[in-house]
Amino acid sequence: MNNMSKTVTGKTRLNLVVAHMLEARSLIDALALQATESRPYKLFSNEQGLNLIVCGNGKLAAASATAWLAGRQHPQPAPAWLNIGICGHGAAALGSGLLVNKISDASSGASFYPSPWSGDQPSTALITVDQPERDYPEACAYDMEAAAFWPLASKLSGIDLVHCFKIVSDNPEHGLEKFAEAQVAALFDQQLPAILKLIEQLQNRASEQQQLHAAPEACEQVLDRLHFTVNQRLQLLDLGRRFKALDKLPLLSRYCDQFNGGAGQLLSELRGELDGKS
Amino acid sequence: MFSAIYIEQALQAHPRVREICQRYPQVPVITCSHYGEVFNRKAQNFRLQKQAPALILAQKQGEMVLPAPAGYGFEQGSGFYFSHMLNCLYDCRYCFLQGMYRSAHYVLFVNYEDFREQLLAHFQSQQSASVYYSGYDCDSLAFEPVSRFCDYFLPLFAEHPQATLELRSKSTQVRKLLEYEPLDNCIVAMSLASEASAARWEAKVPALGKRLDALQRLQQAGWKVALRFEPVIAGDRIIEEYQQLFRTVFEKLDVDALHSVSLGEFRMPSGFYKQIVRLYPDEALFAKPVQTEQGMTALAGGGETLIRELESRLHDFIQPHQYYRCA
Repeated sequence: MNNMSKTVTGKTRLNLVVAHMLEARSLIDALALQATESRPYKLFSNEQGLNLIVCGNGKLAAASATAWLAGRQHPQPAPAWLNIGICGHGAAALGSGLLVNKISDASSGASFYPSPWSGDQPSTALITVDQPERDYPEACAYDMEAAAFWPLASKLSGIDLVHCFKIVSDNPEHGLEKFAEAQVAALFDQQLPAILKLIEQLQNRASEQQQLHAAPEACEQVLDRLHFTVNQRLQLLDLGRRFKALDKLPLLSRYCDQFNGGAGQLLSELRGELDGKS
Repeated sequence: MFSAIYIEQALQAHPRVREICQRYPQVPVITCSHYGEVFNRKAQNFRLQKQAPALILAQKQGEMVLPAPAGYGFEQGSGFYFSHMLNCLYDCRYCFLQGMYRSAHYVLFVNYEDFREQLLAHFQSQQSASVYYSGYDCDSLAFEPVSRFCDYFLPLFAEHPQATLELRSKSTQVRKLLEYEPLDNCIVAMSLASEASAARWEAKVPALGKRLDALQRLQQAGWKVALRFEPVIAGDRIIEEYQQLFRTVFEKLDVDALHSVSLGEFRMPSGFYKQIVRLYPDEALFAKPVQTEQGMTALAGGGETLIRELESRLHDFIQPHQYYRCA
């Protein structure tokens, strides 16, 4: 299992929100996650930027754990979030792994729309209920967390980097009364390749966004060395972006490394370089 | 082709919606109350969505026929536009739609009958000839196999010769047009850029040669064809590149039969430009020096001098009455 974790590359953060320890176990093993906190939530992490929090059942638990995890992390421009868990389903076969394409909150009537995924992973609509659904009135998934997790996490990151993945544990043919907790590990193991692929793709997607917006190192260094007002800092970062886009980072470094004047003068010289000779 | 199809609940039984869904049985269908729930949300990433756009089938409400922006089209009476679609199948890096919309998903308004009603009322309210542009928020022809836009709207304009329809496009989808008798009051306007510009900034757009073939077939069938050389993006070899483009284009087409030819510089509202820079900070085009005047951003180094020079080259091929400058 640990070999699979090697496919998850990059240090861009991806936060996994899982309701129950039974659901978390396979992921912890597969991703080589280490326990880092036990209270108020069990939290597991690895050096590849993955964090897994065990939030407990229900909307309130999911929302509070998501907020708690975000609050203790150093801000990152585009962290990815993924809620993984078992669900009931009105039509899908037991063990199916499904991305969620629409989340409806049964109690409020609100609907949320995670962005469609480009891959071939099947998807489903989902209704988040306050109590386990035993009748499956609609041909969709039923869970107890997504309607709280998704709107909150998408505010913390962006709509396109927040997803829910559900594994069908019960359906009209195999109702909740036939479901045994011991089955959870097997359901997760069966879907592990799909989950790991999703994690890799989502983390890569977030990483691309992060790299796009990363300031050039030369800018970071000169910001540490010279005093810039907030406005000057923004100007420097925009000029840094332009040097980077024009493939002129070595030139930017030469300007920044050798510069001993004030911030205003540096900005003026950088601007002259870009606007004067283009 | 689409990552998903969103359908407004009220339209689930709409014949056009059913037909489109039948065409894509493998694509997940997601219902929503109103297309804005998906399309207009904050915190969307146009660039990420462009990798796997969805199709949203919706109903357009309110005013559907609006005054065209000043200088958008040719001077042949008042100008108006109507948008049966938002966003475009192509992925042109310079396109202002990236800055105007929060989402890259395609919205297709399927209530053509309502457009028809408003267009008819509009035709009647006009004292003189008017022009109606359908390609302001989308490509007029690229989506034809799905939208069947021409099938519905060409007969409408055929019955109202005082109203001119401009189909603005970068597409080679002219098969449907060729099935019809040419309309005297319909102009197919092709947007063209130099091959160097197209290679750098026009992802997914058909090659110049194929587009010229399509235009040639239209001309031979009797359709009125127009050329829109825009957006002109200033660069070191721009004059040479456009000189070559003009030669290629005017060798292929019947110049005397061209309805109109225009040139337009790369420029857009500053707010859109800033939004696009946020989406594509790594794009060299958006690292070039710009100048902003009266809320519009354009590349420095272009401007009046460049456009005049290109106009001068253009006039070696066309008659002055065929030309207008796009604002």
